[in-house]
Amino acid sequence: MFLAQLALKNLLRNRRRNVITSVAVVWGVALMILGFGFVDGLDENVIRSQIDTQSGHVLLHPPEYPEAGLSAPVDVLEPVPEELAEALRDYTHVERLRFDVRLVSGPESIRAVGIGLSDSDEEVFPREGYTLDGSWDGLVLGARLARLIGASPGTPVVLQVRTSAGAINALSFEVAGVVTTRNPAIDNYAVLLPLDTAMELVQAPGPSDIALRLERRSEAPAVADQLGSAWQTETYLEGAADLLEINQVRRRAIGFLVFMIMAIAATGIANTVIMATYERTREIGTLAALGMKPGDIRKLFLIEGGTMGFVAGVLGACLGGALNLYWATTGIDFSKLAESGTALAFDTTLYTAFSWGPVIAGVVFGTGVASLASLYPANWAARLDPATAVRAD
Amino acid sequence: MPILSLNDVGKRYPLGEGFVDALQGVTLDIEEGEFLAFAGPSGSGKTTLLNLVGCLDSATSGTIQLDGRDISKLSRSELGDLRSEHVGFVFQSFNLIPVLSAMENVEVALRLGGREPSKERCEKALVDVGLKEQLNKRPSQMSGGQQQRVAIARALVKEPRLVIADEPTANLDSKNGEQVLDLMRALNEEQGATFLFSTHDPIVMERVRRTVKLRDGRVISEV
Repeated sequence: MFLAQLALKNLLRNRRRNVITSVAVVWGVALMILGFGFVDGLDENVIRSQIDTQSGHVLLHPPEYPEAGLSAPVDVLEPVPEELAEALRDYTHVERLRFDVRLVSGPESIRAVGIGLSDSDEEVFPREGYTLDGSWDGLVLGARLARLIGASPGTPVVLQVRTSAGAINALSFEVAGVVTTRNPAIDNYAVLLPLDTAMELVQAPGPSDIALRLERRSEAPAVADQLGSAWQTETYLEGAADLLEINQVRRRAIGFLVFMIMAIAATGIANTVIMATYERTREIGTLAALGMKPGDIRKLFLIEGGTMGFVAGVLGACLGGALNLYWATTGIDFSKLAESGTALAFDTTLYTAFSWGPVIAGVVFGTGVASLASLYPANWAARLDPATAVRAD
Repeated sequence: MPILSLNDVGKRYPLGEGFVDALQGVTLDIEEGEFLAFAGPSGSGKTTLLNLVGCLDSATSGTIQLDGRDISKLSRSELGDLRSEHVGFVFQSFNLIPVLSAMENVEVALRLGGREPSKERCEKALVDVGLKEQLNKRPSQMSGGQQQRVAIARALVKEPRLVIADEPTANLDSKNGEQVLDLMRALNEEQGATFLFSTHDPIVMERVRRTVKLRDGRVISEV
């Protein structure tokens, strides 16, 4: 207790110096909480978008369907085998048909992705949060796609496709609705229409996708294994693997940045504690002469450095935690990013991930880094010869 | 039995490739309650001798007995325990802890001696040195003479057997120096603690009962 009181009084001696030294710890901890909250939020965003708009928890494709790629070939489609259809009865699932399409409106035309939706599509792909201008009964365009081609509900358009047999086919439609989903993969490129219409247009023998919604995400790998003999299966995690891998790179980059900031902070704290030990050599000698043990002298400086780190860690955790909580509640608007024309599936409103774990870890991290940085000067002070130190200038 | 008994004590320090003998063959007995000064020019070994008898350092040769116990071969930790229990220090530059008040500076001596600091005891120690009005002042708010009085109170509060005063008047004007010496003399008579000074101040030498003169690390005379 006495050591703690003395350490606190010592810390208040050079307030400005200690505050400046602590700033790096404050930023480091705040960045750690915010950065990891951002990437964790992005992970959840990508996963949720993958599940809610692309694949459900498990996605099945025909055997010859390409594993990856932006094109949606229809020449590899086939009817759903009886055994698979039987097995799927135990699960909430919907069929979809994806196909490449050219959307023509007057003199304008644009490449897009056609998606045939069954009537029960909402059972797997919920539409909460969508804004619809018009109706779902018929051809629905993604909002940005509609804007690019100048279409709105009631606008006549033509869909040109290559059929499963390789022929060119086209059908005229009237746009029934324009949907804003905040997901660039839909808003920028999707032409949504009833599944039977899409099957007829493409002359497809079967769907390209069968998507399952499960009770729990954790069931996905087991269900995918169970259904995987006839058709290809992938879980939502496999479907979002590329984006999640990019997030892993972001996570490592943030970790490196935090490491660098904390290394600078540790150097600053070590420097401040070293200066304190030099400035107070005579005091250290006096305390030793009065009977303070070397271990207690070491503790005194460790408490000083650790307290500096703790206070800075708490401030950093408050700053990072408050900003993280704010963005976890209100979200960050990335709709401008969608305007670039990306086809990636994510929600343009990003909610950061907030939990108390990183906030507490930030305080512990700040305190630990500062304590470690104080170890060398604290040991130096503890080893001082009291007979010499007591008469230091 | 003397409180301190030095027998053929030597202290050698490394210096460059060689060494220097700061003390050589010092043999001396100091009785309990003495008021004694080690005098001599700079480099004569006064401070080295105070360091040895004050348990701040260890002798290279010879033996030093404090209260019949040989302290010449004790470890740093054991010397620390002895200091906190039996030795009080008064330094030339006062050596108060600047972030602590006069009371807290005095309390430190008790805490580090492993005793619970009693407010009454610390207050009495400060009142005894004439600082009744300065209890809560910090060193920077006090004059040099007042700071040295706090240092004396800090040295005496744990009722040590030995008080080591290293040139205690060197940073004081003559009036304050005399007052501080008179105070220490009075406390020596009242409390019976043994006071050992290092000095080349004639005022100190006038007031002590015994002066041991040193030159080049050897005792050359006793008065």
